Amino acid sequence: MLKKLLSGLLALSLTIAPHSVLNSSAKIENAGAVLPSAFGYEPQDEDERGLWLQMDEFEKKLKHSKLLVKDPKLNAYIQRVLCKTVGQERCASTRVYIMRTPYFNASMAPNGMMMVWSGLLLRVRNEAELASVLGHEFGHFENQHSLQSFRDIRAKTDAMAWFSLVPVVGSLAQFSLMGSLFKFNRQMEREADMIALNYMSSNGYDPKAAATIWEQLRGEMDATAKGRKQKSRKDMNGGFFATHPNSKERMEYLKDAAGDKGNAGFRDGAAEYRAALKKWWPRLIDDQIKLNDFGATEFLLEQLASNGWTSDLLFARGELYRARGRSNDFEKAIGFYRKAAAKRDAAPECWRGLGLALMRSGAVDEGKAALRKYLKRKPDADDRAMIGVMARASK
Amino acid sequence: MRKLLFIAALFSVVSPAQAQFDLFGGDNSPLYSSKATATKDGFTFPSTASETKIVIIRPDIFVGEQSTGGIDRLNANWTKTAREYLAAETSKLLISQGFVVKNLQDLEDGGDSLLVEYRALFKLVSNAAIRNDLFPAKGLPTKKGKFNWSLGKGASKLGDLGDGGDYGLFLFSRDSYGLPGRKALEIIGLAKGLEAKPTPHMGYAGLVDLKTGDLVWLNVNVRLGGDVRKPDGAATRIEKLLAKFPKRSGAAK
Repeated sequence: MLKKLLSGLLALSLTIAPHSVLNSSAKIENAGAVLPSAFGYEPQDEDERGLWLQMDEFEKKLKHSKLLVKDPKLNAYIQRVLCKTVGQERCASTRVYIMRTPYFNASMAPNGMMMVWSGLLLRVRNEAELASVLGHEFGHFENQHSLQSFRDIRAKTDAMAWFSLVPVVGSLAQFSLMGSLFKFNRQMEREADMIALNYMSSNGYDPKAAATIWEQLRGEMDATAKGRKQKSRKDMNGGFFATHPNSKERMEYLKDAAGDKGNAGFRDGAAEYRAALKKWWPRLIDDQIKLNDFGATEFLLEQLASNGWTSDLLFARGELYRARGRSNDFEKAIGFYRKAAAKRDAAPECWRGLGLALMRSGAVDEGKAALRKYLKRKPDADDRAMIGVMARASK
Repeated sequence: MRKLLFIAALFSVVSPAQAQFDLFGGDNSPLYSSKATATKDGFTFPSTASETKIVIIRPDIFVGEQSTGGIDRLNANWTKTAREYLAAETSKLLISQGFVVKNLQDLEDGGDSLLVEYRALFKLVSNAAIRNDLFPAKGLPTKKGKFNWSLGKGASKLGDLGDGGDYGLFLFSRDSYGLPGRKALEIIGLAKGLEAKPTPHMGYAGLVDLKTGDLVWLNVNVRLGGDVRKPDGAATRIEKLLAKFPKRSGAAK
């Protein structure tokens, strides 16, 4: 009886929801022959028009967000890397917004709006790694993944609603449908990864860079865990309910696929990337330090210093130790600040950090002298009034 | 064990059995049949001797269709036309009450930051007022018996944007029309004694004094009539949304 009812409901749900609701390995396909990356593309049906209008409204607000990084040079650089990755004509269909958010993430909306978080720019070490992320997001856009996902969710929740009328067996069917929702999402992530690899290798970026990002992120997760005396989260991603493939799996299939692309004169653009980000690094590192994640930040600084400790990196390390402020941390910070200040391109802030760390460690007069040096080197400092008071105050 | 609990919790969130039907009576509670209005103590419009100008801020509109599983899809055409109809009907009604009206609704490139920021601020403040004041089950102790919400004096800049507007009127409406499958589910569910959540037809309107930034009037209705996809329906909707709009002293009825 129950079985009969169930199959009846199933048939009903299938007629009402035209998509292949119960096919958990639903094929991912392009909805139309024309890709959204084509010049002058307009959304093709009611679903797509609805999603686009919602995102257009969101984008209007986003343009006024206080978190938006407006630096025209940095924006132009990121757009240029995207265009080099996917081709000049295609990239014109997207807009990239850089958000001042200190975590590793990027996202893509169906109308061509891409968001890149500043924490990603801090972690990425060269153009090829950046290209792999931008290419991945572009792949979601070009293959209309938001639209497919929306339809998949709607079709499967329709079926789930009917199953909600059936006791017990209905719940089991709902459960398996829910699993297939997450599985579909993971398939799209994998597809976007592969699209990125193809774009990278056909436009000269080293496809191996896609896997190295995941290697670094896994290392960072270990470092966070160690610093906090917790178990590393690098292999935890929700299993049945995971929206993305596991980072280890991802790293491995990316490595394999990149191996197949050969080694034909690829570039990674590390020097160009460093030059383009130079002005921003101190701010990005400062944001990271304020996350109070000592282990991960130390790990990141060491990664960034793989070609030697620059003044900026030494300064950042000083700030990190001074912010933690445990025993010996001020002494270590003082050492880093001194080394940073000795370099030719030292920022005035090195003397501020040095002065504050000296004062905290008890060397008050020496600290005040360093603060005065800071103010002399940066007469228009935002914190002049406060630092000035500290530099003058007697005990 | 923790993992099992997590899965159970997630399941209960995603599972439409709970989402579609009011199985536990809890989450649909009184809001679904509620409407409420509040006016700031002692508020009246200046006398009819002087001109009173109301700036209609670009209405925040969503018109869509609801699938069987309760997923709302925005319908781009309906949303665009409803926004035009609702703004036009609002102008008509206010003009008939003797107000001077200015529409502030050109936002194609995002428009002015100020407008975007104040729309967001209004949404935040009015939602706090709705939660804590109009439906005071969860009222804030410091706000008891008072309707004194404000966007702050900076709101006067909105008046400048609207060429010297005295008040700003903000409108929000959200509608979703059930697709055939949704309706079928409601009927079959009802036969089993389960009442499906109604598709949303709700809205609110708020009036802000652009000299002080104070929210002087707020009206919420979560079971609104009027089909916003048609001009007549939009007129009905605006009549309901502005049903208890403060009258001008001495204004002709």
